[in-house]
Amino acid sequence: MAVGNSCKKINNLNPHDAIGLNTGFQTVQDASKWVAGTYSALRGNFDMPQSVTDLQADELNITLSNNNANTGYYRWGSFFGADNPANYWENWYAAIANIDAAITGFKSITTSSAADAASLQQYTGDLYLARAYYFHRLVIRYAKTYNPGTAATDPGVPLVLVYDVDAKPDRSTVKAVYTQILSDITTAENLLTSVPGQQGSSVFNIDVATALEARVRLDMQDWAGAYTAANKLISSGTYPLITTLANFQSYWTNDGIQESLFQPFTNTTTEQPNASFSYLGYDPTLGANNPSYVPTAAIIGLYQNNDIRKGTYFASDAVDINGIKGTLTLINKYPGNPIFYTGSAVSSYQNAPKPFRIAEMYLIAAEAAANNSDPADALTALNALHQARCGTTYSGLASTALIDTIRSERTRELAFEGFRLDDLKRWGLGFTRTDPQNTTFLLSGPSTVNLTIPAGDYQFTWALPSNDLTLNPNLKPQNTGW
Amino acid sequence: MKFYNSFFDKQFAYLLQKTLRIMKLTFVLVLAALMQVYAISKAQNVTLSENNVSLDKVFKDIKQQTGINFLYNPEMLSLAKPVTIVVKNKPLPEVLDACFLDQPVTYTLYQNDIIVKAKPPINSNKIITLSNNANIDVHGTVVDEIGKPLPGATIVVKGTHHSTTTDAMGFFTLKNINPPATLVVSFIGYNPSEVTVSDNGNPVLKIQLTPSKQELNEVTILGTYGNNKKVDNILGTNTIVSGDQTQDKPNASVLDALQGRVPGLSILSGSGEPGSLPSVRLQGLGSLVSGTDPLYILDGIEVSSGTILTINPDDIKETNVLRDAASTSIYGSRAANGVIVITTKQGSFNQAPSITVSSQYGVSNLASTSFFNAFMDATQWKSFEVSSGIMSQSQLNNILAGLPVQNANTQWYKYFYKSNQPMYQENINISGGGGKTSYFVSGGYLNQEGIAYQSQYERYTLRSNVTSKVNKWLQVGVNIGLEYDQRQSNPEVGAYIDGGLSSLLAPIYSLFDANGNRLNKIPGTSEYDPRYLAQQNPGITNNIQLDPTAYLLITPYKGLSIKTQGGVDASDLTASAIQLPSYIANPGNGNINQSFTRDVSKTFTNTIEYKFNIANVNHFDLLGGQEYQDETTSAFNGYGSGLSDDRLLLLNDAPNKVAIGSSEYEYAFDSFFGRAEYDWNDKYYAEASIRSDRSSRFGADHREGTFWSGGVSWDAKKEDFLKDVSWIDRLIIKANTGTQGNAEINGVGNGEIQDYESLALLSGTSFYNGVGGYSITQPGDPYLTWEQQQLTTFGVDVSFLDRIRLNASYYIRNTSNMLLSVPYPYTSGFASVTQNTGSLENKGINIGFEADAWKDPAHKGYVTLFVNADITHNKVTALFDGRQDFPQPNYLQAWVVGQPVTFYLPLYAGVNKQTGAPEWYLPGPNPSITNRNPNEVTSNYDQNALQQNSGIGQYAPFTGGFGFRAGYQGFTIETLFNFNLGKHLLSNDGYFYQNPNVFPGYNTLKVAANYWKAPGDNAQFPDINNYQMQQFDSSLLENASFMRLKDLNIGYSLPKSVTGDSKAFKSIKVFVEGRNLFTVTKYFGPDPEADTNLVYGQYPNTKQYTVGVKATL
Repeated sequence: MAVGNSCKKINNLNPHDAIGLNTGFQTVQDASKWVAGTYSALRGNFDMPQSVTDLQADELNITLSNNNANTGYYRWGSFFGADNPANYWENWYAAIANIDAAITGFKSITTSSAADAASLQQYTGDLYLARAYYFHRLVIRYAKTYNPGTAATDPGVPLVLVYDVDAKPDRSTVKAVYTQILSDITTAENLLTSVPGQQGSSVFNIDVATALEARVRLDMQDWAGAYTAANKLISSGTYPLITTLANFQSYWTNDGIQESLFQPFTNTTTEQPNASFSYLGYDPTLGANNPSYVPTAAIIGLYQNNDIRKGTYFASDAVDINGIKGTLTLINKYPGNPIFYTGSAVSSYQNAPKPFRIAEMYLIAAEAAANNSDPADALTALNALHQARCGTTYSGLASTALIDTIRSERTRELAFEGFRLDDLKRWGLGFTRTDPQNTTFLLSGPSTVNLTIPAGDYQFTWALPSNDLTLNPNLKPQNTGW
Repeated sequence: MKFYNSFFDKQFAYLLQKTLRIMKLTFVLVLAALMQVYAISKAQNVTLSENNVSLDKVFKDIKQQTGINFLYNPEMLSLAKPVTIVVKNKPLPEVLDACFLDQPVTYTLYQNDIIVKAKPPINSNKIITLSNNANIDVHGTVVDEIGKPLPGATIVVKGTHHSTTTDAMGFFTLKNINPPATLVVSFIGYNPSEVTVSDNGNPVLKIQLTPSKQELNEVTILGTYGNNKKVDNILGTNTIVSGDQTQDKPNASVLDALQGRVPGLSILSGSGEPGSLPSVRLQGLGSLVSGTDPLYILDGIEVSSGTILTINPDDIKETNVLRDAASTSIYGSRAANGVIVITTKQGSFNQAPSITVSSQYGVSNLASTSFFNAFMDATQWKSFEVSSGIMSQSQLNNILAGLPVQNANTQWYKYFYKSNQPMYQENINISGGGGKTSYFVSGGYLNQEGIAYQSQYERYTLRSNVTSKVNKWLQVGVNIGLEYDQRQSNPEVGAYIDGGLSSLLAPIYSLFDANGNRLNKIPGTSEYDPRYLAQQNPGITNNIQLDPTAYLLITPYKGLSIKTQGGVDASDLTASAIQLPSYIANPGNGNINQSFTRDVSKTFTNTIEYKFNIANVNHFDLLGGQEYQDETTSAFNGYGSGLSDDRLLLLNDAPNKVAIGSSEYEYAFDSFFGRAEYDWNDKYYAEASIRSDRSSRFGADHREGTFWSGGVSWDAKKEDFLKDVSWIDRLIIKANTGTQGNAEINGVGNGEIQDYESLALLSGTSFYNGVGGYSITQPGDPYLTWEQQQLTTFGVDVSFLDRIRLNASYYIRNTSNMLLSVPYPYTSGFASVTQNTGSLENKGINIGFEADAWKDPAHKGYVTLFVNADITHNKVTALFDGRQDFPQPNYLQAWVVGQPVTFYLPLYAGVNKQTGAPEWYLPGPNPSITNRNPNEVTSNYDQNALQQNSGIGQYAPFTGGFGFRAGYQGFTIETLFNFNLGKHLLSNDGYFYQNPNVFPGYNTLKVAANYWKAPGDNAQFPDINNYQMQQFDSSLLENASFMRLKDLNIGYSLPKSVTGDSKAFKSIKVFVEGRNLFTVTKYFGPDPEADTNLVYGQYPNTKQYTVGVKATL
């Protein structure tokens, strides 16, 4: 029985849920799927709400009901293990491996029409820009801040530019990494030059490339370059700033697009955004919120009452945390888009990520110009944003006061979007996490509410994962202090 | 498992759970009505007067009187003796028995014919001299060729229907025998033996049966390839556990009952979940990453370990554990971890029907509560939280003020675990056979409630095993096993405060309001009443299991048998998890997740076997065969949310149909094999086998693996110089070696066997804007091929003084080309890539020892002591990339060349008495060498920098079981202890339970109060104000050695004086059974038996008491 066809079967069993890697580069349609995979990964990797970098910084306090989730980031020191952030390294390099394989593979795809050729060109541009984004995240989190004087010798992160599972790459220098990032952005800009920017675009385009360039050049202290890139987007007028409370609340709640250069595609079924329960966590059985993280009184106090951001980013509401009842001001920036929780009165706390907003470009322009001894342009950019949010403007600011005001504005505008820790690191600042709202609700004990971290603390830069240090003898040294 | 340092509550964890309405399935049995009975009327009488005539003549005379045909080959009668018989009007069977007495032929009645056939070889008869003719009682034991009792053997007084069967100890008693009488003793798979009894006393017999060279006149046993018992019993090293020892136990799985009964077989049940499968390993650790489960064969068909759970232990005739190359290499492909052959019961030809009915009831409780009593009570906790500064008095007062019940002092385990949960078990089976057909039919029901909520296993089983002789050269058999079960397993096992970590809840909280009403949610916490949670999140899994097999056995010439067999191991599993719309955490928005999984494995085996003798003393047995196996697993599922009505809970009722999915996996194996056996005069044995396997799981050019074995054996007792040494009953010395393969590629992290690991793959399920996005799911390795093992065994079997039986073997297992998920730097894009690399060595000794301390067959009295032990040493002999060690991140373990799998973690040096700081030993330059230099310590905890070799291994080097069996008259008692010595476990629980400044507001063990307070304190824990109380370090590492009273069974068979009056009952036995009644261990956590590197929130083991009754009709 069954002797005859058995040989045939053994040699012809292939998975039903996957295809061979070598068959994945045949048509432009294949290319579109590689790009879709890249965007899909990006959507999951944009960790704006509940970013662990925000938890590590100074604007949040952890409550009693958090159950030790991510408290290592919050408490620093011996609570913060070298491998706690290893999953970010792993996820970002996994995304890069896919991009590298696709960049090489796309070269073997032949096109038969001009439209196909244009599509393939655009898809290739998408890949380069995504790779630039990931290397930028890596170099910020796992290497020293870019210092023009030492970047050529400071160890950066491995530049993995070709898909090769067996490669054992060493650490490129910070300068080499930034050079590669800029090179990828330039390549992307060339390839995406005919893909115009638009509000809430769900794919990369020339404007997104420019925005990333502005962000990267600001890091590199290329003030002129950062200003030029940011200002190009501001002056395009494509993304006007929101000026009313209602519109601003709607932008965050209902995933508006007016200020978004890029907003990943989401839908209510298969492509839902990540959820952020921890800022509110309304519990219908308690009739109150049970958040894991609450904002410090200090960050709340940074906003004027007429600031539309205050009424959007915060809400005062009842809490019941481990049975302790009261009222606290909570982060309401990501209250959940109602389209994701139809059928229920309780929010599912899902909002589309907004990783590139025009407001950041105003702040980049202002900071770059101020550092480039151009206070006039700095003030112009700063006031454009401040005017939109508060209806007032600054005047007469110069030098340190100007820089400080720009930094405050940046802190206010980009609060809880994952920028804060990177900004402190870039500015070379430490912090003291003072002024909690009400310690009764908060995790207490060593290094919690009154944590002071000096400027330049080694834990601003994460450790390289021990997995890679153990397995890759070329990967050295570990970051200082770890 | 990776360790956990945070836990979850259910408030927003959208974990999908449970249910389907309990569906009572009615089994409809269609049974091939092949049963044939004695068709000839027993009332038919004959009258004969023959004097020294041929048998042939007698047949003719009988035919003349009765019309019954005699079918025979006249040549067979050439050796028949002449017959002299004078009978008048006697029943036919009696007359026939008289005529066939001492003839070389025998007969069977078949419908209206009598078939005359050659007699099977008869063993040497014991003849006890005649004295007078008074009726006597005969007692005896029936044993197999190595002296082990044969339970269930049939003893018939020849020429009558007076019969009995042996009990679990092989004992039997026949009363009121009229000597001289001949007893015919038979047992499936053995040659029948006749014993003539002509004694005046009440004789005590010992009857030894020898394995049969199967002919068509017996029911074929499906199990190992071919029909040769020599490999099992003389050449090979194996242990047969009779079904009697594994049935009627308060656990669904037969594997649980095997614990401690087989030398070298380590079985660990780390969970109290009914219907959970224990971990099973044979002779050490066969592989670091790929599968270590043995190969399971059920009636000749490969089945999955999950199928073992669905077999009714009451249907099992025996479980045969094959341990050496001589026995296992013929299974080649997946035999590297040993083979467990399970054979179900059969009827026999010409056997009167036997009906067995049994019923059992029992209760389950926590095996031990000492762990739960080590937590602080409310008074201790309140004072501890404030005095330690974890919370201020005002913070505590705030918490207390909000609680409806003041002064609560709750021990949470009493609410999360129930007590006295019931277990029911009912079984019935009928077996017997006519002249050409035998049958065994059984039905069973088991229902066991777990002590946690949503924890239950309910099983219906049905089996029909039928064998029929179609004609002289063809036999067919059909075994059908059907099973239906429904399972619920507690979803909160693990790092969930709603279950596994419920003891973290502070004792100040209460499940009740001020008026004593039980609440759905525990006030002051985010947690729910576990009972409410279970009601609101029902989840049930249903499984239908089908295990049919059928064979044709053709015996065209003497010694030649051709067998073709096909079988299926198939299951349909539906799982349903629902969150009711009325669930207060998510009101009006219930959800449902349903899935269906079909798993079908087919096995086809064709063998040809030829046995022949040359010059009478040279015995050959040649076997050739081909086998094909494949398996397909396919599944689909749907998930919907927005359910709004508790009465409408189908996917149809969910407005948001959020997700659907499906999956399908396949693999196939194709094999050819051959085996040759030879013995010279049953004294010197030799065996060689070869098997070639191809598997679809490997790289296109690397699919084939060839495995072989060779072995010799010497039955020294047959030598002249030992033949007459009366105190030695048996002495066999054997040695063999061979190779086996392993294709059980374990997936990274998920523990599931992977079918396509050699391929570089892209999947297209990461959607973006409706386009299925590609991502590389695995890098693949086109060179992937078989993991190989060479197993060499030296063994000795000895029995002496008719009381002591010992088998001992020494084994060396070398695993090479391991299928290892080799860790990769994350910069490659992958955490690991499966490759063939590294090697492992296991060396050990298995000992099985039995001693009959006392025997008195006349009163069915005996005391037998037994010990089964395995001493094993396991070490890694090579790793990947030439590495000498590899610490596994987050597992707190390392693979170190030259050492067993060891814990690799910061070594805790204690608290500095002066400063209160915790201290850890600094590792030396080579962390694989333990450095405990008291002068080299640090107080800066860094798991990676401080990890070093603890020198402590996870796996127990010394395991086994011991106990005794005893009986007297109708009473029997059996105890079985099992033990694991040198086992270690890391208590991840301890990280939660003694870390109060990381988990403020949660309960903690009483010992946590012993923290450093002032210089000079000799404290267990550091200064609570400045240091984390507990880190992942060696202080969490515990010796989990244990000894457990696994099984205690006390039975009483009602005497014939009670049952004798009943026409229906042949025997009635009542029994009480206890499982896990007590445990001796130093391990502090809920249960030491878990077979893993670390534990958190485990479902603790249970103890059971049951009572049962078993009646044979």
